[in-house]
Amino acid sequence: MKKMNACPASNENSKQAMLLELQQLSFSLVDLNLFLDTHPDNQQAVADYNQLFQQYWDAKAAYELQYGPMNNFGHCPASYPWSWINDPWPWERGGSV
Amino acid sequence: MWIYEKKLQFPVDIRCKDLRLAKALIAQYGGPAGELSACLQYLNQRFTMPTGQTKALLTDIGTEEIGHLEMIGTMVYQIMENASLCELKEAGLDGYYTLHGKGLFYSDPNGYNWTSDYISGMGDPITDLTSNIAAEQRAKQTYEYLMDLSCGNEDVLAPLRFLRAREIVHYQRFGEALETVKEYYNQKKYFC
Repeated sequence: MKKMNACPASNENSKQAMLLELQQLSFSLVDLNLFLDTHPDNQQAVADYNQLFQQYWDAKAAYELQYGPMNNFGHCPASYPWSWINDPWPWERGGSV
Repeated sequence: MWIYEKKLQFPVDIRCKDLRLAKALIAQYGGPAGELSACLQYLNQRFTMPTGQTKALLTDIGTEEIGHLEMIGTMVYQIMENASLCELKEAGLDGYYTLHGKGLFYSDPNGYNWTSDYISGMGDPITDLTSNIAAEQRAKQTYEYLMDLSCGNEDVLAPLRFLRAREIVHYQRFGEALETVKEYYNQKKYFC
């Protein structure tokens, strides 16, 4: 798994790197989830899932602290002022990469 | 209940203005084998699935498909965002513009709007899972045709490659679920 750059060249690069890491981790979790749906007795896959879960939540919390919440509806703490409404949204330039 | 995550499943950043390709990409937004068809078909079939495994799989793949719908919408939006009216007309998007402007809409490249006639739900787990395996194969085929049309543009090819690969994984998982459902019914018959 790609590691975060400890000394980012710029704020935007750091945001992109953190978002890419989140996308990689959450993709691994989605794929493992589907695998486990049809292989519920695979102990190694459950262990991998739990390990990735921890990495994902740590990376997600670090990202949200700097760039705002990734989830609403009580799945992530809110800051003042309410930053859920901040641009960019995922479909916009700079929103997904 | 669903929770929205404010990120795409895979990065999309399209710099080209290949509007003819945007028109073709709409096939996977509101076309017969598109992502809207996939997510609605799977999430709807869940209710009559017999096992925890199949209920989970249809919920999870159906949910992932909503994320894919968002990726396709993003691709179309980004290509069309800065296009001039002349460019839209040249690409044959004047009919689309008349009806939807630069907004997204659930239709296909030939102007047919999405309809639930595209999807199936027979209320029988074996029939439904078999239909889903075919649906994944049709979606994979559509992605391959779109990749043929993308003229080697990496911005477009990267997300299309990702989406094509996901169809293969879903095909595999539905195939496994179909086998376990068959076993489930065989066992039931045996013990009754």
